[in-house]
Amino acid sequence: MNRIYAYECRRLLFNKFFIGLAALILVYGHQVLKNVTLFGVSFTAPFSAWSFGDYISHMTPFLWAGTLFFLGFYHNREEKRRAGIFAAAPMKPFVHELLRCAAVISASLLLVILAILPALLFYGFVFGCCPVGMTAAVASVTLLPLVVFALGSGRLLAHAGLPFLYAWMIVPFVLRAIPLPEALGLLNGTLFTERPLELGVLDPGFSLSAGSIATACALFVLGPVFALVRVPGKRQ
Amino acid sequence: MRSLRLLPGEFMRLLRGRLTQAVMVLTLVSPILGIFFYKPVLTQTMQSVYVANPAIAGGLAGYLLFGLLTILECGRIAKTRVNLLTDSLIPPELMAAVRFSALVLTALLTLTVTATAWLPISRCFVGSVFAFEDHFASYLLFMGTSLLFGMLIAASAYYVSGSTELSVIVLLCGAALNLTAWADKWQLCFITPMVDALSDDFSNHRVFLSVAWMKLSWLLLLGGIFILSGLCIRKYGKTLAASFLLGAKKLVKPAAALLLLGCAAFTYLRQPMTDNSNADLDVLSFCEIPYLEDVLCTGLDAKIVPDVDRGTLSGECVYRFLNLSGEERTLLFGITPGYRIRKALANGTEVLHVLDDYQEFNVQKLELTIPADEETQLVLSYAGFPKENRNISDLQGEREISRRYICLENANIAPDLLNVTTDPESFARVCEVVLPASMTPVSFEEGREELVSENPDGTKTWRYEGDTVNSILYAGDYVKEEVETDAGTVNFYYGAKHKAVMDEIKLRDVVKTVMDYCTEHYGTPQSISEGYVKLVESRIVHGGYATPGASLMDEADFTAFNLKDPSKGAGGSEVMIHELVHQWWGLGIMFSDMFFDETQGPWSSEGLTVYSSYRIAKELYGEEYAQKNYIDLWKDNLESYQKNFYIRNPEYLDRLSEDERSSIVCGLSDLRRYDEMPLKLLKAEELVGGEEAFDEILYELFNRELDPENPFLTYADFLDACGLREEDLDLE
Repeated sequence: MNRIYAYECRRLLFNKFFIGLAALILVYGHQVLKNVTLFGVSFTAPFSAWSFGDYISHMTPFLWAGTLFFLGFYHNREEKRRAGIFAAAPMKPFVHELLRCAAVISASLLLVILAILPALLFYGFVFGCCPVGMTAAVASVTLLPLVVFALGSGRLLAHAGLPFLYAWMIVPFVLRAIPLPEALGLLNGTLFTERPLELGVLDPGFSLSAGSIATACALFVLGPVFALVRVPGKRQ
Repeated sequence: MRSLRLLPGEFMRLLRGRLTQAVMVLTLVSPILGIFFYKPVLTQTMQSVYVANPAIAGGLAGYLLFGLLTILECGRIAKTRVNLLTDSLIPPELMAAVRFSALVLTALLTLTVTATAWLPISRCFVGSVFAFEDHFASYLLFMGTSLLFGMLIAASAYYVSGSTELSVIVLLCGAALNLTAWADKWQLCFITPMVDALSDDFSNHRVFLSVAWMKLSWLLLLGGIFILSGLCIRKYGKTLAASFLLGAKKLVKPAAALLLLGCAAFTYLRQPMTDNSNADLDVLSFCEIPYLEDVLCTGLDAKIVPDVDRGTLSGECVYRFLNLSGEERTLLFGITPGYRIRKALANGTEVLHVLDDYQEFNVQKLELTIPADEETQLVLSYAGFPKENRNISDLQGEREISRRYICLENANIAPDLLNVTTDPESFARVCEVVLPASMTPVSFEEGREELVSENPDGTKTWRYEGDTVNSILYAGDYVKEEVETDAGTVNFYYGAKHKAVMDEIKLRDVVKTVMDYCTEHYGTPQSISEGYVKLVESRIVHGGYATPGASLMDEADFTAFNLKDPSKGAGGSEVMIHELVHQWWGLGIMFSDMFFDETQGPWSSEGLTVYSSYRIAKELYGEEYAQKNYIDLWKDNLESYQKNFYIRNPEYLDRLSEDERSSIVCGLSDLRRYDEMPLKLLKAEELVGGEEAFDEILYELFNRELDPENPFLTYADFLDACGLREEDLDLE
């Protein structure tokens, strides 16, 4: 199983798409840090959890799209032609599916780490601090539900058809451009710019509103639920 | 030739595709996003709202839509594996060129239809100030080029990667960078150009020129990348590297690509639109240059000829110096970046001149030496395209020289003297300017403009005089109205296209109210010594300014759009009020520095001017309006200033680069003068016993006996007059 997991990871990571996406994330991250995060958001320090959260929210659409593209690898035309060979292999399709999910999760986590890396370097070089704990905490609270949801919903849509998956990739870009209720601020980044002002104190500690926690939990739960839903007529 | 034969068929095939038709229709309707959702141009002139915003929004939508269409078209043949057949019939790079040309034609067709379809809509909304040339220039520059860039980026990404997914990500990344990290960098916003405003009453030549230059840089860059990426199109089933090497065997394409990339770098680095002024706005090194004690300037004759077609200016100045030292003296002049000295003659002999690279506040230092003669006549001949200050590059468009509008200030007209004073008794400056016959000149002087001659080439030569080296000149299609007030006559100049709006808002009444209010409360200012003051409407400058005898306001507050907004008050003319009040505070009474003096803290002419404007607004529009639009706004802004992380933790500023530090500090210093000081004055008003008592103090200060050695009104003078200490006005 380990060998198949490693093989699936290699398929996802050692290709021009991943290398290109990684390069774009690094370049885009650097530009956001230099031109946006440097000034701090909502009167907080550039190295505060809020500013970092704002930075991560800028990166979210690309991480989302990356995760969905990884899923798309397993549902394109070539892959469907290979399905017969995989079906003949002495491994339960469910286990194979789980291994692929694990590979996509690993690749997505790698993208998340690549997105966080420039921020840590930026904080280290400019401000002489390296808040690894804070960045990990904020990223896991904000990104993890989104990645899990992207995985689950993406898998469902990929079964329905690749065009749906591609359309789903655009959603976070659109969400960033439209106003959303406070509870959905996690989805377009306004959580990190508006909540510190609402808290009414300077340099507030990082916290989520009840609405945001509910949204994060819903995303976290809905992801696996969607992943388990089977599209009628698509069962092998 | 073969590609030309293939093109019509490919173009028609593309047009028949449902996806293409969907993209064309969506692009056609996309400008509506600029009216309701995406409004990058915040200045609310009619043309900004109903022409610039729809065109820019359409450009962004078109960038994405045509980019996606390009990616799908590039991958169409490979997806169905028909490329194995077609490649044997037509070389893949030829087919790619034909396909891309067909896409460009489709985009061109879409752009033409969109611009034409939106013409009657824009015209209907914009009304009488609509300009056809601005509409088509906006759609071509703001929208059309973005469509092309989307296709170039998408095709390049696909040719290199051969991956639909990665190409989509590259396309989106371009849009994301443009909208976030590069949003305030005029040379990098390649999809949605940074446009401050489109003028209704005057021309937009400079704005379009700036956008065109930026787009040219990107076109060259993306064109170079596109040609290079074209070499990567897979041939004979070879890999990326092998295909590239095969394609690069013919050196024409790599050479063309390198040439384009080189030109892109050149146009980016050597752009002619903005200068290299020091980003630290607290540095005033040119003002600190000591004056030569034994050299005086006794006169200046300047003749300037703006080239309204090219946006350039040429001029010749004759300075007269009195050199009492008996030795050669080095003189320093400040000239506008972009100008070049053609000739420098001292008493008829050519003198060496050196132009320093250092620039500050849109001024560049020129150094030259005059002979030991007691009297020297220095002739400076110069010409060029005046650059704008890079620190306000987001507000480009002010330095307009076009057939419909000209704005020239100080060193734009004649090189300023940096280390020589003028002889206060005998100095006289005479300026002659050659303008198209249709233009009315308005000098920012107390004197009037005289027509010298009507020239055979259809131009007119005008003359205006003054007693300082610096002068300001506006010219355009102006209407002049005279308003009689207690302080004197206000000669009100505004754009002819705006006459209907000015009549509608009864601006004459507001002008009279402001002038009479200030005269009654503070007295008659000496700056209106000739018995009249000019009030000039300019193209968008986000505010205004004032000099003795003249005040400037911009057109933004008088647009039909603003006047229909009930939240903007009954008159919508606050900038005009502010600039008229400067005839009292700042000109009638001088402050040690008109703009900002670090030693005085937030004390400057702006504090009293903003406070007085608030009082006038309170009288004109009521207490509630004044509270909401003045006091509450000051408090909010001051709170933002005090809360700013770098203000609270200045030690972190030292960790930033000089440019980053300057941009943060300078952006915040205005808040102290425009918001903190008015709040302190409001507190002083309360402490001295209310408005009436405070007005009496201000009246006394305004009419006090001036010390000729030190005529400035300092913070200490103000506090003494109020009987207060500095700490009494500390804000909580």
